[in-house]
Amino acid sequence: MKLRWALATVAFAVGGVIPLTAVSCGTVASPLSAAGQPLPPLTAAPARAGSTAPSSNCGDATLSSRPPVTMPIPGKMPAGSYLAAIAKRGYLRVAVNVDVPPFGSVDPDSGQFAGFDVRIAEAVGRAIFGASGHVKYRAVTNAERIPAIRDGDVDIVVATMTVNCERRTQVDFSAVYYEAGQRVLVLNSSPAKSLGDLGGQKVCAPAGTTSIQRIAQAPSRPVPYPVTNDSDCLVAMQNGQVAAISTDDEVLAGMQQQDPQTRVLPQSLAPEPLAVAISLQHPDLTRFVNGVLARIKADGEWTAIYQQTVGNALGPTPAPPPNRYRN
Amino acid sequence: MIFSVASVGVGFDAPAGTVEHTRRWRRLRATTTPGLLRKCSVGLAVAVAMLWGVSLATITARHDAIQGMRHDSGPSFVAAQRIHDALSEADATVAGAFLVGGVEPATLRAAYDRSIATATQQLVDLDRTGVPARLRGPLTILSGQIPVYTGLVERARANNRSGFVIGAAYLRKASGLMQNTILPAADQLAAFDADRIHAGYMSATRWYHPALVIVFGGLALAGLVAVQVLLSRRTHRILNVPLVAATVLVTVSSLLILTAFAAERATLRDGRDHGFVPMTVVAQARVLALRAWADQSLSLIARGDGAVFDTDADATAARLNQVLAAGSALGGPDASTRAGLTASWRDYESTSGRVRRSASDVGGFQDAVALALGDGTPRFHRFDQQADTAVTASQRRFSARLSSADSVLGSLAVGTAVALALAALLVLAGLQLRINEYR
Repeated sequence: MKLRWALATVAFAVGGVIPLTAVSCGTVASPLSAAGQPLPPLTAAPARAGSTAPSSNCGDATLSSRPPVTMPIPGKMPAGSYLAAIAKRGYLRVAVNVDVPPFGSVDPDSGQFAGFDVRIAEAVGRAIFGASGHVKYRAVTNAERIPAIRDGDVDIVVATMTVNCERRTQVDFSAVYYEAGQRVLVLNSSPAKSLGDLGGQKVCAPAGTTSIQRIAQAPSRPVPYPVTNDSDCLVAMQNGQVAAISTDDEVLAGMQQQDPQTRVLPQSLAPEPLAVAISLQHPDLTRFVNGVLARIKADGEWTAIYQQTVGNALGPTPAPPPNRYRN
Repeated sequence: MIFSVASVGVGFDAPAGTVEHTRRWRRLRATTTPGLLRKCSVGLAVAVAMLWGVSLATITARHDAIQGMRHDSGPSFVAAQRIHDALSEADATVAGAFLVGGVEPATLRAAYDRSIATATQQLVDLDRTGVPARLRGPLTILSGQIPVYTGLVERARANNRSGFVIGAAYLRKASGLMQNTILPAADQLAAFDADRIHAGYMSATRWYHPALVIVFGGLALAGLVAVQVLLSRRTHRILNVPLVAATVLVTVSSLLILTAFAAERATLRDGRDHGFVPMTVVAQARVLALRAWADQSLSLIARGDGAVFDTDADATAARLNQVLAAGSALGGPDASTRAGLTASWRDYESTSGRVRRSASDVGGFQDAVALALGDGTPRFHRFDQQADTAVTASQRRFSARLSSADSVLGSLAVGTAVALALAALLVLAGLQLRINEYR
């Protein structure tokens, strides 16, 4: 009798409990669903294209091709030339920097491109079309300048670009349009008088430029601190991450204008001849740009552009750089 | 009748004084009716007490788990999500305001200020509730880095007003800090609370809680029935009213507990499926959308250097599409609040695609900015408001479900304690009546 009851109880427990728990008493989990999980930040920034071509000795890199004896009349480009293709398209494509005042910047209010480089590009555009307003800009970082030409995205690059033999193997250059020099920007409070006083300290320059290479090779052994854009250097210096910035003096002058607590050291580390970069496939465009440069240097337009953009920030207006041709 | 023989089959054929005789005699004494009844009364009282103990333990465990979710992990998960949301919104808003030009529009500045205020307020509330040591790290990052972020934004604004390009560089730095450091810390907070909610759900719905109630309730009931059968055979009285009442009480309280557990479980499931899950999914969608929007603004502000942001925007949009698909597959009573989300996002996406194309065109930059501000921003806000409504609806449902699950268990512990104590007393009283008859 007792055994029967015990058996009945067990049967009730097993037969009743298990199906009941399985159907309506199962433990309810509430994990965060896959769609509710956050997306972590992307850690790997895309690799930047630097100048990786082997260095080569090309003699004087600043020598360019001689302009045509008679420049084509604006609006009437010689048939079959690349210039005619540009004219047919209706606009000149130009790559510029936008964070290098007074050379290249975008006005925050109007959104218009402005600066010394932009004015040079405008002069080339006017010479092709006979009127202004036929230049379209694409903003590039320093490391993107050579790829922009090589990939045919733009016709010319006017972006504080230094001529050297290494780059000459990848793109063609016009005659020098501005004779800059690599100098050093420090805080007013810094005792440094030259790069030689900055051994072991961090010195900032944009990645993929001659400036960062020169910092790395300096005998005083400063620590190179590469960033994406020029202005990231000023941010780094204002936040105490670097002791100095070393790049073209015109760039440094723009930074000095943005932060009066800084000064540009007088020592010039190396001349930085700036030129317009053009594809090696369009020698007629290079000769044409050289013709435009020769004209504006001669007729005073170059001086007017300098005074309207750079002004007196670096002392008296210098003479335009000479035109030097290899043929 | 005083020493009535328990079982007819037991005889005295063993000689007196032997060990065997003594053993049998003891067994007989123990099986005399009052002795047996006393044993039954104690046994039944213990069985009822055990049922009471089990039900108290299981009800309390569930109740505590729900209380923890209602007042601790639930609100702090929502707070962590709000912090994440508000900070993403601040970052996207400030980038959008930058696109406009030198002086940001007053509405955008006010929206940014509001977002930062919301985030810091939630952070203070979280801090006040006392946080476990594991969360010290992320909370320190949040409270330490938000002021750094706002400082960078102010420097960006001041420089932008002066027309200095370094303003854009400061903005990029601020956004990098937000996306790479501050928001992951907020994610850690939310993940911690999500784990706690998961654990709370498990503790509030253990399968063995009802199983234990069934086993112990069944044992108590079986005992009660067995004793009543025994009594009716031994004493020839059909009904023992107190025992019948105790049986009814035990049955009713066991069934009541099981029903309450099932109802609580169903309510919690509803809260999960129609509250918690849609809330987390749509909140994630909103955060992803804000990130993609900020990326677009930053890409335009960076002018030439937009590739990093475009890559991030692509990854974010791909993820967002998965999340939106998951969100629209959810269904439930608030499904209507989520119905338009995918279409609104597609609408914005088509504009942002056009913005991207014209920005990379030579000379198309100004058009891209005009398109992003004129067409993209209102479309984005339409999506954002829909997402906000959907998140709020799901949030409300989640907390309403938690509180109704709580109220199901609310008076159960007291009710069953009273009923089972009464049942135990009735058992003792009912058997004592019979035992007394033997004196």
